[in-house]
Amino acid sequence: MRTSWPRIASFAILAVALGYWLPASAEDDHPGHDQPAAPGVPGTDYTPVVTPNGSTLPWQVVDGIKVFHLVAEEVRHEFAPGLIGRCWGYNGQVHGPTIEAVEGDRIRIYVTNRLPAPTTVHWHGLHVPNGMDGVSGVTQRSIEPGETFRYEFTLTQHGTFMYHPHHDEMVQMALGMMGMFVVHPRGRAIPRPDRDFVYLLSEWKITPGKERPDPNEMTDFNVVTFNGKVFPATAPLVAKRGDLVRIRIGNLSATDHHPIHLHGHSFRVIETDGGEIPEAGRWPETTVLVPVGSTRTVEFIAERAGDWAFHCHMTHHTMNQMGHDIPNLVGVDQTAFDQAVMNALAGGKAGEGNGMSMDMPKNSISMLGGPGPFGFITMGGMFTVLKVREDLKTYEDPGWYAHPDGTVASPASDEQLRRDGIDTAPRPSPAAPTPMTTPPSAPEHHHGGK
Amino acid sequence: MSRRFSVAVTALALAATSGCRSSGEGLAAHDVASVAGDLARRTGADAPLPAYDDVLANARMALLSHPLTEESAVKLALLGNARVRASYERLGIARAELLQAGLISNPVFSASLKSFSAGPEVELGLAQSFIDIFFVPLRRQVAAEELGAMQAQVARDLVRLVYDVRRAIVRVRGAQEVTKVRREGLSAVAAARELMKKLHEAGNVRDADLTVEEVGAARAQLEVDVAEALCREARETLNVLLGLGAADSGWTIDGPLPALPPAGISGEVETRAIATSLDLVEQCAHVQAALAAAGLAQRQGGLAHMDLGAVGKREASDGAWGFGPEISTSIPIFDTGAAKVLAASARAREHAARHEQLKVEVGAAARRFLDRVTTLRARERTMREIYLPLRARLVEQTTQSFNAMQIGAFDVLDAKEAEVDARREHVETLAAAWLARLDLSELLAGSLNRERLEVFSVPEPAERPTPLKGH
Ligand SMILES: [Cu+2]
Repeated sequence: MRTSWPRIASFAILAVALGYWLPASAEDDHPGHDQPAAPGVPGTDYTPVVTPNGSTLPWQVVDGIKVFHLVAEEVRHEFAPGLIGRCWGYNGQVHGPTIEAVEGDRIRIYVTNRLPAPTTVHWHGLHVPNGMDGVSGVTQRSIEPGETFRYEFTLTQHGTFMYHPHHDEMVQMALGMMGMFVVHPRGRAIPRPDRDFVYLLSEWKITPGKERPDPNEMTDFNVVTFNGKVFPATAPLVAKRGDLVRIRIGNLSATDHHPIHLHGHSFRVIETDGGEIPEAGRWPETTVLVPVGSTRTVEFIAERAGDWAFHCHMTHHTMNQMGHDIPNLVGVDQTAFDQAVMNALAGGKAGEGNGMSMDMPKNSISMLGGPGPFGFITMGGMFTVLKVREDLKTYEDPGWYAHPDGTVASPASDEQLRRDGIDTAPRPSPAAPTPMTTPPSAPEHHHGGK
Repeated sequence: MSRRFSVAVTALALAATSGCRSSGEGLAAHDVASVAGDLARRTGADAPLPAYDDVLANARMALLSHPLTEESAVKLALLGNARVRASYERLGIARAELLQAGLISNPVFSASLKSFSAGPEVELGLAQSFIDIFFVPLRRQVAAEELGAMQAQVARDLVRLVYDVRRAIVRVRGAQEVTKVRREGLSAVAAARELMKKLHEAGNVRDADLTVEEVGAARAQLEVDVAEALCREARETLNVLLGLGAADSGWTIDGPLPALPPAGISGEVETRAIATSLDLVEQCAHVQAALAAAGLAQRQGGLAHMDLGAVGKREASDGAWGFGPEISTSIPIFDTGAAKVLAASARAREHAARHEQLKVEVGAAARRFLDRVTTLRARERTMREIYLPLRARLVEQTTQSFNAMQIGAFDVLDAKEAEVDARREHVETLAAAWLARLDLSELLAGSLNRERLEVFSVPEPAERPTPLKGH
C-alpha cells in the first residue's frame, strides 16, 4: 500500500488545527501529548480547587515532572462526630486527597501499598498509555502489600476525573478507596471560576454498632456521603454574591446514581468526565444526575444571598444510618407506642427504675442532621448548604444567614387569614385515625427520644 | 363406704383418741422418744411428737399465722400428719409383740363328769405346756430383732416425710416463681399484641401480622395457665404432707427459691450413706431375726407339743379318788421339724442376700445423687453467672438497636420474651438443683428413696437467641 507524504502532512495540519478548536478530549491531536509543557503553577495557570472536608495532594517538581505520592492504607475515618469507620483510604484520609494538575503537565505518581491486600490505581477518564491504566491483571500486575509502583504520563486533557483501585473494586471502594483528579486547562480563554469546588459521592453500609463498612452490601446503603462526610459534618460551600461558582461532582458509589439539587439557583452542566459540553448542549438545571462512574461539572453565578440547601434529592440519601426493616408507625401515637414498649421491657413495672435503656448502639449517629437557625434540621447524609453573602472578607464559614425583615415564612395571623378568606377550620375526614404525633423538641427519629 | 362401716371406724377412732392415744404415752413411749431423737439428729429438724385435738389445733394456728417456712412446715407435718401417728403406732405393735413373745402359755384346767348307774365318775386335770419354757428366750430374741427392724423402718419413714416436706416447699416456691416469670412473659407478648393492634388500626400491617401476635399472646396465656395449675398441684402435695384440710389450706410461702448454699455436699458420700442407712439397719435386723428364728426351729425340731400336768379321778364304782402326774407329747416320727429348719435357714440367707444387694444399691444411689447435685449445681451457676447476664445484655443491646430504629418494637419484645424464658429455665434449674441436693441429703440421713432415683429431669431449655436483625 502506498501513501503519499503530502497527504499525511495535510492530515496532520488539519488534526493540529482541529485540536486547537475542539474540546480537549481529542487527545491524540493535542500538542502536549508526548512533549510535556512546563509544570503548571497554581494561581498563575489555574485557580486551585477547594475540596470541602478534604485536601489536595501535594507535589514537587523533579526535572520538570510533577511528582506525587499516594499511600494506600487503612484509615480510621470520622463520617460525623460519633461515627467512625475502619476504612481504607489514601494518605491517611477518606477519600484520598484531590490530585490537581494542568493540562500538558507530565506527572509521576508513586503508589505505595500499605494495605493487607493487593491493589492498583486506575485513573478514571484520563487518557493514559494503556500500561498506566491500572487494571489489575489486564494492564499491570497488582501492587502487593509493601510494594511501591510508579505511574507516569502526560496529561492531555482537562476536566474532572477520578481515581480508584481496579483490583477487587467491590471491597476496596466500599471501604473508601477513591479520590478526585482535576486537570485545569492550559492557556485557554475560558473564564476561571471564583470558587471551584470538588465533590466525590459515595455510599456505605455501616450498621449502628459496627465499625467496618460492609462491602457485601449491594443495595441497602445507610451512610451516603459528600466527600466522605454526612450532614451535619459536611462543610458548607461559601461564595460571594456574584461569584462564578463551579462544582465538580464525581460519583463512585457502589450502586446509586445521585440527583444533586441546588436551591435558589439554576446552573448549567458544562462538562462530564468525557470532556466539555459544547455551549449549545448546555441547558439550565437545578438538579444534576450524577451516575455511578461519572463526573458532572456545573457552573452558575451565585446571584442570591442566603443559605441555599445543596443535597441529593433521593430522600433516603439524606438520612443517616436509617434502618429499613422496621414497622411503619405513621398514624400511630408514637409516644404512647414507645411508652408501651418501655413498659413491656420493664416487665410491666415502668417507673421502677427498671425500664428500658435509652442508650444508642456504640458508634452510631442520629438519623437526622443537627441544630439550625430555625430549629432542628431534619436532613442528614448528602446535605450541605451553599452560603452566599454580599460581603465576605474570607471564604470561612460566615455562620447562618441574617434574613432581611419580612422575608422569612412565619405563622399567618388571624387578620391575614380573614383578609384573604382562608378557612382553616378542620374538615371531616373519611377515615380519621389517631393523629401522628411528632416529639415536639427532638425530632431525631429515635425511639425513646434520646 | 357403708354407713355401718363408717360408724365402726368412727367408734375405733374415738376409742383410740379417748383411751391410750399415743404410743408416746403407752407401751412404746421410750421407743417413740428414741426414734424422735434419732430423727432430729439425722434431719436437723426440730422433731416434736404428734399432737392431738386442741393442742394440735393451737399449734397449727400458731404455725399457719405466718408465711410457711421450711422449719415451720416440717414441724406442722410432724405434729399433724396422721402418717406420723400411724408410724409410731407400728412401734407399739412391735413392742407388744416382743412382750407377747416373752410370755409362756397359760395352764389348762380340765374337768369331766360321766354318770354311771353306780354313780358319777369325775376327772380333773391341770396341764401346763412345758415346751414354752425352753423356747421363750429364743422367741423373745426374734421379736426383739423385729422391733429393731420396725424402729429403723419408722425412723426411715419419718426421715422421708421430712424430706418430702422440704421438697414440696421447693416445688411450691419454684412453681410460684415460674408463674411469676411466665406472667412477665405474657405481659411482654400482650404488649406486642396491643402494639400490633394499633398498627393494624392505622392500616400499616396485614391481618396476618396481627394474627401472629395474637397467636403469641394466646400461647403465652396457655403457659401461664399451666404454671398456675402446677402451683396448685404443688400446694396440694404440701397440704397432704402437712395433714391440712381445705379449711387450713390458705397458707402462703414467701420469697423466691433461696440460692444454693455456697458449699456443696462432699466427702465420702458412699461410705456415709452406707453407714447411716436405716434401710440397711432394718434389713440387718431382719437377718438377725431370721437367724434367731432358724435357731428356734433347730432347737424345736419335731417337738411341737409337750404338756406336763396332774390328774385326779373319782371312780364311779367306789367313789375313791386317785391322783397322779400326766405327760403328753408329740412324737417326732413323721415330722421331725427338718423342713421348718430348712425353711428358716433359707429365709435367713435370703435376708442376708437382700442386705448385701441393698448395700450395693445404697452405694450406687449415693454416687448417682451426688452426680446430679454436682451437675445441676454447676448448671445453675453457669446460668446465673454467665448465661442470664448475657441474655440480659442481649436485651439491652437489642434495645439500643431499637432506639436507633434499626429494628422494630416486635424484635425487641421478642428478645425480651426470650430473656424471660431464660429466667424461667434458671428457676427450674435452681429448683432441680435444690431437689437433687435434698435427695442426696435424704440418703445421707438414712433413707433410700427409690422413687426419687427414678426421677431426673433437666428443665426444658429456653429458646436459642435469634440473631439480631438490622444487619
Ligand atoms: Cu443520592
